[in-house]
Amino acid sequence: MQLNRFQLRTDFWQVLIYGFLAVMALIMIYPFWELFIVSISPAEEASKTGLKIIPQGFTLEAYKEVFQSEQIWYGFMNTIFRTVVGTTISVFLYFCTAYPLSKKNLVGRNWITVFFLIPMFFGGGLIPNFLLVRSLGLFDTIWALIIPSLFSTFHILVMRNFLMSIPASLEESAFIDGAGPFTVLTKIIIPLSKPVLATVGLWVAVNHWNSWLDAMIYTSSNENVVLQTIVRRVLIEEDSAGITDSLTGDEGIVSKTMEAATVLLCIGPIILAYPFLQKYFVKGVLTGSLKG
Amino acid sequence: MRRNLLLFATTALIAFTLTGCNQETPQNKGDSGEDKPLRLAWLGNPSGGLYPKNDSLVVKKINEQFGVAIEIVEVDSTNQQAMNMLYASGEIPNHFLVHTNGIHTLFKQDLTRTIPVDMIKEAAPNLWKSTLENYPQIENMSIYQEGKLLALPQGTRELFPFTVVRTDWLEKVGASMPANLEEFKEVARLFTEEDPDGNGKDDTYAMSITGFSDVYNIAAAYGISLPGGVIKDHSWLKDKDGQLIRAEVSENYKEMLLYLADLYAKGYIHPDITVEDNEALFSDGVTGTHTAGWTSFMPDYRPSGFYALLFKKNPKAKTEYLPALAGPNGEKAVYEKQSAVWRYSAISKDTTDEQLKKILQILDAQITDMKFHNLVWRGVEGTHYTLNKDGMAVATKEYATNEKQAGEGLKFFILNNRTTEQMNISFGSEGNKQRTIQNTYKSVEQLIPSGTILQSEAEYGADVEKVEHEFFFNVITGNVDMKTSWDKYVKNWYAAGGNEMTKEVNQVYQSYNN
Repeated sequence: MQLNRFQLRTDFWQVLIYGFLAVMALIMIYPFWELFIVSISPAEEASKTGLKIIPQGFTLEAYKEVFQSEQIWYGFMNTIFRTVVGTTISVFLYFCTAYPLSKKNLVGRNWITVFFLIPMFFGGGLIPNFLLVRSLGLFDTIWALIIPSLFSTFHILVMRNFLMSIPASLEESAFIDGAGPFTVLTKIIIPLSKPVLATVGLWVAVNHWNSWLDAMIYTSSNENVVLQTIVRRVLIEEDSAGITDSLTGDEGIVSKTMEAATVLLCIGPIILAYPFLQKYFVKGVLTGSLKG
Repeated sequence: MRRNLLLFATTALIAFTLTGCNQETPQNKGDSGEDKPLRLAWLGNPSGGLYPKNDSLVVKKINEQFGVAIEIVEVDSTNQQAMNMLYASGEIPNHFLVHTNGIHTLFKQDLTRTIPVDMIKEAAPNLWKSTLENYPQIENMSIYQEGKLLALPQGTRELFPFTVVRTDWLEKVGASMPANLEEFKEVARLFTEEDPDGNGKDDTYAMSITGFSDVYNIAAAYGISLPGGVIKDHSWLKDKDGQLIRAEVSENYKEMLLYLADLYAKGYIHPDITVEDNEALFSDGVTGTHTAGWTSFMPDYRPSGFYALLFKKNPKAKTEYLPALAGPNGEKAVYEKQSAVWRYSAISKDTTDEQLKKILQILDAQITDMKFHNLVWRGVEGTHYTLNKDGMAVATKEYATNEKQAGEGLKFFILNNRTTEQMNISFGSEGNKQRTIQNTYKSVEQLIPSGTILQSEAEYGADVEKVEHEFFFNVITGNVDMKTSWDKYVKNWYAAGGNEMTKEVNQVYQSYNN
């Protein structure tokens, strides 16, 4: 069978595009792969220079060491708590704010929107926020990581724009059929809003998972540590600031394998969440951006 | 009736709450009204970012021994942002550590009280003696003001960085340990061209360079000290007119760059000078020499470090320290004694003389009382640590983690000033060996002592360093020609802020000598 010129050209472009995407994917995946290889390698292999494509040797010693640390468990507990609780409450509050704001008949809608917009552009600053958190008695509690970031005007606007794109006729027909406002909300609006809820939820969750600055400022005790603080200690701060010491010496050293195992454990869960929410993600962002 | 009951209940609750708020804690008042322990809020050294509790072993021992009630303050002194928050809160601990970068900010905020030198001499004579040993020029330091210290500098005179040489490679190529720059160049050639690892491949180099610290000992042969690793300060030299100029714009520096550029052009330096992990290159047997801080070459002290890995990867490897290399005309290498300030102990403004004396006594006891020193640094022998055959303290398996150590309060109160005996227990006999080697070096005092706060350095330091680093790499790699670019580099250096820095440094230097 002879291929025509059009088909050949299409195939050529297909190969080129897929080839390019494959290269890009490899570039993205390789750092994680190297981290994984280092984390399961003996120290001698992990410290070698050059690319690490195939593991040379296998040991779970680094993971064993990391899991023996109480800190990593506190970190997981606090990070999961702030991510789940923080995201749930935030998304609930965003929706409760965005839904009325999406209604054109809401009295003073523009004024309320402006009211929300002001703190989006003008912040109090780090030190005033710190003093506020302290005076509210939130300092060194897990709530200091959740309450100050509960409300975000940007996320509310994204959600409002999405809700405005849902045709009003859908609600009207439900009302005609005898549905009450609560039924309309739960049976029509919320199911239709799944993409934007997932998108905003993902943004908030990732933000909670990755945050370390607020944990550094608003908490101090060993029990309130979050995963990113541990990662920062292991990677950035001095050798002695790792999650566990070496077995000897006055100064602790975190080996490369433990560094890799810690980083992988800390960033892994949130990366794994992406593929499951991706289908909502694109739809949510695009739909939300159409109407202003 | 029901309303009255509610009112009564509310009033009672408010009254109860207010009474509760005003109650003094047992820490502040003894049960029977006798002398209460002196309260001391203490911000110390976190162990791996972790803090002890008020009832941790070391805290309790200090409370008992000194009649104090320590309150642990959980803030990381190395984190300037966290320290700024602490200052903003107004709740400044009686004793707190300040990182060297943060001392300038602290003084501007007027949050501390001064420490009279007479009081240190009286309450903590050994601490004062040790401070003078570490900072012989203390009266010229910015923290000294008319018989008072604004903060107490902590540190131990660091050893200079070492360069180690693969002696098994030397044997293989039939060379001996180089003693001067010319011999070093010849060894560099042999390490690169004569297959010192015997694998039949042309895959070895003499050294790798990723920054100033990698050429520390070569710079010393040219009579200058370059910052890197434990060496923090830039070196200032006197020119022929008696004016101070920074080492990086001196003729000696120019000569050194030419030497390094020659090594690079001949292929003796690993070609990838900025990206590669130079420690791994050495432990993988790609390079035959490596320069690093003195503790890096203690495999017992740093069992996961690159030096320990070198012997795990290649059990036949042998190394020795490179001696101080003689300069281009046979002159002795010059090492600048740098009394790096690790950090400062600062005292809050509301601290009384009585509290300050206690703080000084707690620090002093660490120098005089070996048992107390060990307790604070590493706990109780047999429980928290044991001594290895070399006399070096090794944490027991149970207390090898930062979590366990922090839980006991180990390292939180440490003072970095240490006696020789105390250094030996930290570093074992290798530390002694290193000290003996460096005692033979020709060393000079700094013209501008460590801990001198220079306003222009804070303002222009980063810009000037950028100019320095760019030129350093460009010349070595042959991207620019020294003959045509040196004058332009010096001009750029001064324009980037070097003028202001040189002016201030000379003013400071003159003020010392007036």
